[in-house]
This record gives sequence, C-alpha cells and structure tokens, in this order.
Amino acid sequence: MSPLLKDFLNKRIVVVTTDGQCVKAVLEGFDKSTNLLLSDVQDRVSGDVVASSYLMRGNQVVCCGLLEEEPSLQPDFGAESVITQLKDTKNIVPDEHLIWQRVWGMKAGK
Amino acid sequence: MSMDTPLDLLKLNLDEKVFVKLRGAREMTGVLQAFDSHCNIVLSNATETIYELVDGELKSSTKGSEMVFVRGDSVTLITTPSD
Amino acid sequence: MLFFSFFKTLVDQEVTVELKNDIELKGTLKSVDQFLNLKLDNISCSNESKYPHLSSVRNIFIRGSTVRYVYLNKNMVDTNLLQDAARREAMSARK
Repeated sequence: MSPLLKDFLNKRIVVVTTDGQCVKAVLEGFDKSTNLLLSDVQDRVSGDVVASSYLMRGNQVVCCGLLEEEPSLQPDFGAESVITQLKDTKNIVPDEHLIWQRVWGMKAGK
Repeated sequence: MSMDTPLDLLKLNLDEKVFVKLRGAREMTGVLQAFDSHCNIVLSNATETIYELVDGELKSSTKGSEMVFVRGDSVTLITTPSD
Repeated sequence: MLFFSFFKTLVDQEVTVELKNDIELKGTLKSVDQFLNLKLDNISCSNESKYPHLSSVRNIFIRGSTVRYVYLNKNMVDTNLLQDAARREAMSARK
C-alpha cells in the first residue's frame, strides 16, 4: 500500500497529468497504483469546471500538491499575461535519430 | 566471476566512469555508484548533455551535478566512455 | 529494493527532483514507497515563473514513474556503502 497520499484525503489538491493538464480538485480516494477519485474538478489556470467527479488513472498522474488554504497565497492566474502550457512527460524529440547521427559523427571525428 | 546476465557486466563498472544514453536526446557521464535491475542508477560527478537541432544546427547544453539518481525508464544505453 | 532503501536514508534531506515534463522541484524528502513515489515538503519550483501551477503548494506527492532525475549532494551518500549494496543487489537479483 502506498499511504503517501493519505494526508491529502478530502483536501483540495493540484494534480498535474502526463499530458500536461493541470487541475485542482478534492481528493476523495486513491489506491496503490495512484488511481485517483476526484471531485469538484476545475482547470487550474482558467478555473473552469471540468467535472463534478473524475476517476483519474494512476499512469496519468505526474504529481499531486496540497493546496495551501491561505487566500493570499493563491496566485491570480487571470492577472498574469501568459501561462506557459505544461509539457507532457513523453520527451519526444523530433528527429532524435538525426540528432544522434550528428552526435556520433561528431564524436567519431574527434 | 560468472557473467550470465547483461546487468552482471555493470557490476564491473561500479566506481568507474560510465556513459549513459537517455531518452530525449540526452546523455550523461559520471562515476557509477549503484544500479538495479530496472537500470535505475546513481552517478557521482555527473555531466548531463542535452542535444537539440536548431535550424538544422546541432546545439548542446551541459549541466553538472555531484550526485544524481537517474530513473531507469529514461535509460537506453550504458557503456564505458570511448575517450 | 536497493533504491527504496537508498531513498529512505535520504529522508529529511533537501533534494531536487527533475520531472519528465521538465519541472524541477526542490524540497525536503519526507517519504518514499516501494514504487519510488516521493513526498516532498516545503517545495520550491526552480522554474516557477514559467510554470506557476504549483505556487501555493508546499507539500507534494510525486509519482515515481514521472521522475527523470533526483539531484543529491555528495555528502548525503556513503559511496562505499552504496556500491556494496549494489553488488549485493546484483547477486540476489540473479537468484
């Protein structure tokens, strides 16, 4: 069992997913593969309601942060000009084989 | 010493400098301190190099660290450095 | 089990975790489980201006599978002990 998430139960958390989504929600439940049962799910940046309840697969979860209650700490995303879209975790580099071809060529030439 | 699995070979490289190729056009060299069957590794005196192609030109950036744990699922190759 | 034990020796130390989505989180390691999921306290995000999503978060759970690197300080690790543990792990893994 993974009790690491126990402290977050029934608390408001921020969840980042492997495809670069970021939501805030209340953690209703979890299991050992980090499958999450979330309620009152909102987009972290826009605040739009995504769903009232949500089962997130564990392999989609990057991290879950406990949202601090103090309102002063809440960033006002609306005021900021551009929020950089979070990256996914796939680390796909276009033309990676071409990069390695060049790197090995460079090393062999040394 | 019997050598019947590929990972047994890594045992000989403990405390030696190794070259590690990683997903995402990255590589890392450093002194191998630990490894397991998932290819999770710990390197000391490590230097990471990230390569990218900018307008068809190869650019690289490096980052050093005195001790780093590398998760095995990013690792694609471990060898001894050629130089 | 080698790295599970390894991370347990690092509890209460300050580490920097680089995730596969390029976010870098620095904080105090609070707990670890057998999947190498990590819990950090008092985190700061080294590229926070770019990724403000985790501002107002101090306590974070990181799924082990999304970790790319964990940066440590040299003085946190007894390298002789670690290398011996790795040799023993390699022996027992072979069976």
